[in-house]
Amino acid sequence: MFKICRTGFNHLSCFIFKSAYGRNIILVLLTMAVFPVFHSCTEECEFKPLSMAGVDFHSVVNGTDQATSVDSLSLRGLGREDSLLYSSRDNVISVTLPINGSEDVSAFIIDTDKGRDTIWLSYKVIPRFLSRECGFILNFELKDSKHTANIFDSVVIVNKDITTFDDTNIRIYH
Amino acid sequence: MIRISGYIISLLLLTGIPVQAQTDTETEPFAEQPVTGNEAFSREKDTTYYPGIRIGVNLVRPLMVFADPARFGIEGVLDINMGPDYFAVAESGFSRRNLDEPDYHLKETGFFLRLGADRNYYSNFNDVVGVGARLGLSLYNRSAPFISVEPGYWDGYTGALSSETFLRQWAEVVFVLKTEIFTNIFMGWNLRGKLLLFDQEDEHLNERFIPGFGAGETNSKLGFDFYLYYRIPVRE
Repeated sequence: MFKICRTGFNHLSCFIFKSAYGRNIILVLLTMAVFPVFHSCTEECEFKPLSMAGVDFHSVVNGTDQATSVDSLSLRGLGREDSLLYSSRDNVISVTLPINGSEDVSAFIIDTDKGRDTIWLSYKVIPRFLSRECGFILNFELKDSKHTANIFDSVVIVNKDITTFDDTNIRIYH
Repeated sequence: MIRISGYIISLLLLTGIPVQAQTDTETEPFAEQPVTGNEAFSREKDTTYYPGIRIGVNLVRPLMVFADPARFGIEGVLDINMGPDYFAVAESGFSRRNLDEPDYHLKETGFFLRLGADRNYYSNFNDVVGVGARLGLSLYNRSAPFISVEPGYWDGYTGALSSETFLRQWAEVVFVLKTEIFTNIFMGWNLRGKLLLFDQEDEHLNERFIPGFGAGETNSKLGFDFYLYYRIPVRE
C-alpha cells in the first residue's frame, strides 16, 4: 500500500488509504462545503416603503426664519377631491405628500384657517429596484414648483431628491 | 515529530489558518530514515511536484440554476504553476440574472474576468491550501422591459428602464483549497472576500447583480466557488 502511494497520488486505492488514515482532511472540508451551494431563499416582501415629499411650514419673523404651525389644515390632491390626506388638523408644522408616479406633475390643494392655496410640483420619476422580493418603488427628482399666493408667500425646494428617507424636500413660507 | 506536526497542520487546516510550507531542506534530514506510517505522505511532495497548467470549470454557476432558476452562469479557470508554491490564475465567464415577476422584469447579463495569483502554504502531494488575490472586471448590461407599481393615493405606475451597459471593477482576497482526487484530476473550492472599486451607484438599482461579483446591496461580498480541474500533464 505504501509503495502505491509513494509513487504519487494517482490511484483510487491510495486515495482511500489516505482518507482512511485521516490525512485527506481537505476532501472532508470540500465535501462539507458543497451543501451551502443549494441553499435557496424564498423570502416575502415584508415592507415596501413609499417615497413621499416632506413639506415644512415656515415663517420669517423679525428677520428670522423659523418653523411655524398652521391650523385647520386640510389637504388633498387636485382631482382627488373625494380623498383627503389631512382633515382639519391643528398645530401642523409639516406634512408629507404622495407623488403621482403616473404623471410628471402633482398638484395639491391646501386649506387652512386663513385660506386656500394650490401647489404644483413637477418632477422626474425614477423607478428604483428595491429588492427581489419587493420589486420596484418610485423615487422622484423635483424640478420646479408653482403655487397660488393667497396665504403662501413662497415655496422653496430644499432637497430635490424625494426618496424613502424622511427628508424635508419643500419649505412653504406663509 | 512529523506525526505531531501533521496533526498540527490538520488542526490549522480546520481553523483556516495558513500553514507555512516545509522546504526541501527541512525534510532532507528524514530522507535517510525508514519510512513508517504517515511519514510516507509528508515526503511525497518532493517526488510528485512538477510545473503545469491546470484548467477547470466552476460547478456552482451551472448548478445554481436548480436552486435559483433566475440565475445561471458558466466559468472557466486557468492556473499556471509559476514555481513550487506560486500560481498565476485567470478566471473568466458569463453570468446572468433574469427576474421575471408579475410586477417587473429585470435582466442583468454580462461577462467577467478575474486575474490574480495564489500562494500555496501546504505542500502535500499536489494539494493546494493557500491564499490569493484577484482583480475582477465585469462588463454587463441591465434592462427592465416592464415595471409596474401598484396604485396608492394616485394611479399606479407602468414603465420600463432602457438597456444600459456598465463596467465594474473589484478586488478579492481568496482562500484556496485544491486536492488531486485522481491522477491530474483536482477538485477544490475558493472562499472569496470581494470589494468593489471605484463604485458608482446605479440610481435605478438598490440591489444589483454584477456578473462575477454577485448580487446585493453592499459594495462588499463573500463568495464561494467549487471547481473541478484537469492538469495538463507535463513531461520534464
